Amino acid sequence: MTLILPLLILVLSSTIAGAQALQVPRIEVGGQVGWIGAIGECFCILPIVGPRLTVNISQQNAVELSIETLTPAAPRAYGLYFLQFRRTPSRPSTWSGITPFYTVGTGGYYEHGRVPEYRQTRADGSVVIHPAHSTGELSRLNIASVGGGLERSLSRYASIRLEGSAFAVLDNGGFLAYRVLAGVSVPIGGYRANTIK
Amino acid sequence: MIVGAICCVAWSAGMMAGCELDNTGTPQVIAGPSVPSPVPLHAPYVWDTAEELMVWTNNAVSRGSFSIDSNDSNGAITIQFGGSSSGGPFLSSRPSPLLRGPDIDPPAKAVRAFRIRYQWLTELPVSFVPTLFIALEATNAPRADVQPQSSKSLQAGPGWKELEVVPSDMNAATGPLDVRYAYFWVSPQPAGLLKIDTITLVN
Repeated sequence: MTLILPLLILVLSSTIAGAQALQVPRIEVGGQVGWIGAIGECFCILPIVGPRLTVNISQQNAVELSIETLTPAAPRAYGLYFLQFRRTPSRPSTWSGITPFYTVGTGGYYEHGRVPEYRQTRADGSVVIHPAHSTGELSRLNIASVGGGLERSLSRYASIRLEGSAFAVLDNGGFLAYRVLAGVSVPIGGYRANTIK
Repeated sequence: MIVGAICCVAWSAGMMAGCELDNTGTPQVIAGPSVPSPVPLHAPYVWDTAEELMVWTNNAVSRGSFSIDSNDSNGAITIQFGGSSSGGPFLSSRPSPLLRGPDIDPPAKAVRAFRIRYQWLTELPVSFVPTLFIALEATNAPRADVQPQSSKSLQAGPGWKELEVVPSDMNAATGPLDVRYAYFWVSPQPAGLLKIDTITLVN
């Protein structure tokens, strides 16, 4: 956290507005699939899938929250969440143009499970009914990540993106990992082709 | 909008500090069969005559092969453990014999221990000892689904011995228990004969 916050501030303060052909709305929602892998003795990979929320704080800078579940997710979902800053240095002038971006962020893990009702018959013939319930855990921010990717608009109402990032888990002994994702974004209100300053 | 803001604040706080959620509800208990108490006790919460002990052996909950032996003392519950079903002398795979006491209404107040007077007769080495497990249904248990339990090993040899078991969930917070009924079982079952001539709720 102590390293990430100054970095975020530095990147945010370096924003330079420029002429752009495509204007993004304030909010975009989307989803992504991909895989996650550890960098170390184990090169095993696991598929991940999850939603993403993007808040465009300007035409070049955005904050994104993504929740990536390590599948299979039932009956217990376990995964990672990422809160990342995304900067888009420049936007293309046409729908078919490719937009590069880079990201820096943080995150943690989450866990959610659903425990079904179960009945315990005791030796005296009585029955204890434990009602169904859910359990969950959200870790504190313990991941630092950096990455980048490419985005391309399909139409006014959708875009696709491909991104990758490396991240370090800072507790539980610490380890390095990476993730590769392909996703779609749906701009709430649609992209606009207005030129802005 | 407000819900969204609350969720946002909660999520942010969770990310900064971490959090755990568990919305476990209160367990519900369906009572088991009742055991009436047709025989008046000559002393409060003491069962030591053949008629009184039979209430423990002859009811809808108790299971196992019991008999009442009148040759020794005022009558005693006898339980013959046969060892393993394969003929070996040591441990049986059969379900543990269980004895459920009668319903006590009103509950026995301020019970602090469960006591039996017994003989455990066996020719096996002393390392093969059965253990007496007790459970109490108490109106002031820590939770409705908790039956304070405990256990203690029996000692082999002729002559009557007393074994007093204090429920493990009975502590300074809960104090002595107000008991609606008690039950006990014996496990494992090395070959031998167990005789119980007195059962007492100690208050």
